[in-house]
Amino acid sequence: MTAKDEYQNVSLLEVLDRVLNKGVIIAGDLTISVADIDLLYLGLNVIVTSVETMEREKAKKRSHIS
Amino acid sequence: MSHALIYAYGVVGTPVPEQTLSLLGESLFNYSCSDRIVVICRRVDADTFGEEALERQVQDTDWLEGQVRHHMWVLNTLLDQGPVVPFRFPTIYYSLVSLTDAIAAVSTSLAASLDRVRGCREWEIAFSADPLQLEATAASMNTELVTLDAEIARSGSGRAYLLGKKRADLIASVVRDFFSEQVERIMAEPAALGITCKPFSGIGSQQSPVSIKKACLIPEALQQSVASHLEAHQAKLGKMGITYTIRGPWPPFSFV
Repeated sequence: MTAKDEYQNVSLLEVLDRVLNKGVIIAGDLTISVADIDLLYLGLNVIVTSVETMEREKAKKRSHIS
Repeated sequence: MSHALIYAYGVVGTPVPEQTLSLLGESLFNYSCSDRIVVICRRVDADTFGEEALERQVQDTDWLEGQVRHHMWVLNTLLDQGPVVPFRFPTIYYSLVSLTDAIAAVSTSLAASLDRVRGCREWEIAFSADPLQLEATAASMNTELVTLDAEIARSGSGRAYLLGKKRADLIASVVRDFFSEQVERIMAEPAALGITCKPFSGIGSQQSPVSIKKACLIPEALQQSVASHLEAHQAKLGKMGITYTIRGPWPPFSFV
């Protein structure tokens, strides 16, 4: 388990799964704080779905080529 | 640049050398909230990262990909310097005063999180199964199914049909429980070493009855032991149609 180079190959979905879905949320008194991140998050979920579709299409193309 | 906002990546225990920060990008800086809490920040443009602008920007998948990969890359690089408590993307403040207030409210728990993840990396261990092979193995080891299969074999077509329906209702839960049991058994030894593992559920990941993902917080000193432990069980798992992959390391997103 030393393959840090694996990180370079991680899919966008794997990154999104972490940076949008995990990690600490610090509440603040700002416009862009927890509640607003939640609003953004709804939009981001839609994007995740389209990324998912995009990656499936890419995988299909790759399997056709090989 | 118009009005500058503060983008926060996460918290570290001690200031990161300026040389490292400059390699990570322009405008990154240490912001010490206390002697144990340093927030790694970047000044960003309100035209891009302001609330309305950001809601527009995130619709651009290429832009979003660049930003989230950069967020992850910065955190991963910081991990080489010491423990990191990663913030979710996007964590943005209008001023350092607001950031200070927000951090002050949770500084004790942030310090505790830093202590908890010190010297550890998060890895994902994903188990997947060949559905047919797993079903065959699970069915052969389940007394109720073995009995049912024997009864189906010696029954006439009508009764066999009804028993077959009963079998179909039963098999899904038998396979799911069997798969989960095998994974828990394999992970019991690392857990006994003090490694923390939890189910990993992703927003974008396909959920599947033949896929189980675990997020594991593993001390660096034990990483090789965990890999060796899994390797030692690879052949046994393979006979049941189960394979595994290890992905990472990640900043400890699942453990803060």
